[in-house]
Amino acid sequence: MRTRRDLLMLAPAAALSPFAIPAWQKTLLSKAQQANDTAAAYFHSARLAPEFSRASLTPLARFPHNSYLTDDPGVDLATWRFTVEGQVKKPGAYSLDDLRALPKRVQVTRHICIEGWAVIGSFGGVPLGAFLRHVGAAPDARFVEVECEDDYYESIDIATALHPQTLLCYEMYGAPLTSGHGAPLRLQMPTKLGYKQAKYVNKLRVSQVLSAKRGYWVDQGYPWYGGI
Amino acid sequence: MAEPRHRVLVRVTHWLTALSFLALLVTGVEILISHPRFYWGEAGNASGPYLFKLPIPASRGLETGYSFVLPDQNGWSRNLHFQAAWLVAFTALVYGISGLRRGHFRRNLLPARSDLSWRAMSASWKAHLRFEPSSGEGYNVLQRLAYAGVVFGLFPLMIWTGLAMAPGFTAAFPLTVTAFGGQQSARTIHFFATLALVLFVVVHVAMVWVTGFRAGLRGMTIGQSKESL
Repeated sequence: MRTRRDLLMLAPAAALSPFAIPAWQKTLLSKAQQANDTAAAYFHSARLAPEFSRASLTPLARFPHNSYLTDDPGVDLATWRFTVEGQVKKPGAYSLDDLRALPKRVQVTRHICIEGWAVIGSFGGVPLGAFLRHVGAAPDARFVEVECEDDYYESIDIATALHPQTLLCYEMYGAPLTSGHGAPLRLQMPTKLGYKQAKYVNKLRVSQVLSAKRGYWVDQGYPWYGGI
Repeated sequence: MAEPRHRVLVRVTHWLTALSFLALLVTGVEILISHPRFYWGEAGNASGPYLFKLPIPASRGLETGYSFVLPDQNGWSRNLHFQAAWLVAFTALVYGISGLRRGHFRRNLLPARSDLSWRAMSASWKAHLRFEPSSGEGYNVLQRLAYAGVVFGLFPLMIWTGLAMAPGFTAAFPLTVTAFGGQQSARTIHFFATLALVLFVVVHVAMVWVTGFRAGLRGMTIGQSKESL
């Protein structure tokens, strides 16, 4: 017996059939990927990622650093400056002391690698949101992009940038960052996977349009959102 | 024409689920081989103790005992994994709502109370081991337990443990991960639930083969009833 309702049940199969048309595949798949990012961004509320007691810390010696480009880009800490540009009232070059003078947050959070492992570490730094207010980021800005001393780069949406646990991190385990962990400055966001936590950050751009270079791994096929 | 063996909605959702499962399995293996080690609790990594490791090479620089690494396809695998997860979740939603409204679960999947007695269960086991054809209408008690276990047990467990691994999701809903005792525990449970699902698929296909592959396939595709064959 075939009823109209039975035919409607075939709707999911019909909805999938456009994916079989070669000329449409790339567009459809990239649209679907954007839909994933959009849906995932729903969870960007100010809800905090779990924080842990110091007793659950992974010892620093066992906190690995995956460095695909370099373990030490040869940063001269004395002359190091953090360049800020884009839609901000106070662009320019900021020193590490400028960052240290801003409100500091220390958090014991989980760092999850896309490979599957996870460690619990202690991170200290200035919340990126506080820094963005300090430099007068435009209220309608949509993205924050960073560049690094090596050729790494990353970008995040403004909701992630303003999340209270998103840090411009200059300390781990109460001591200045070591070279392997991105000295002198890295991103730290417990709501995202490890590859989003750019190390050796030396430039930040506030923008309304995401540039073609979205992220070192992202441009090689990793999800841009990076929160799942 | 006689009543079809399976309603059209069951047939469509069956194959959409089968397609999604294949995609999830292949991409899941790709994601897993980045780091084929398992931990228990909130954290765990290569430099610390582990629960167990799989005797396979990895696609990343992990000490595995092999002198080579496999090609790394973690990036696109994750995209396809989550894409397929959307498909299977929506399919399950349609199947679940329909199954509740039409009494499919009550009628076909949930075992009768009387069938759950020790005597009835062991009789069913014995009949299976002797390859005796199932007597009576509908699914027997072991079939019902297997199907209901997948639909109401393993499937929700897979979705839940999958989400419990996601840092963005667990920030919004912390209970999803704490309920499993940690992110790495969720990953380990996700792995074992996968093994259980693969075991189910193997037995399921074997049973379809034993009881008449062509008839079974016709029942689940064009919806022919058993009587009309």
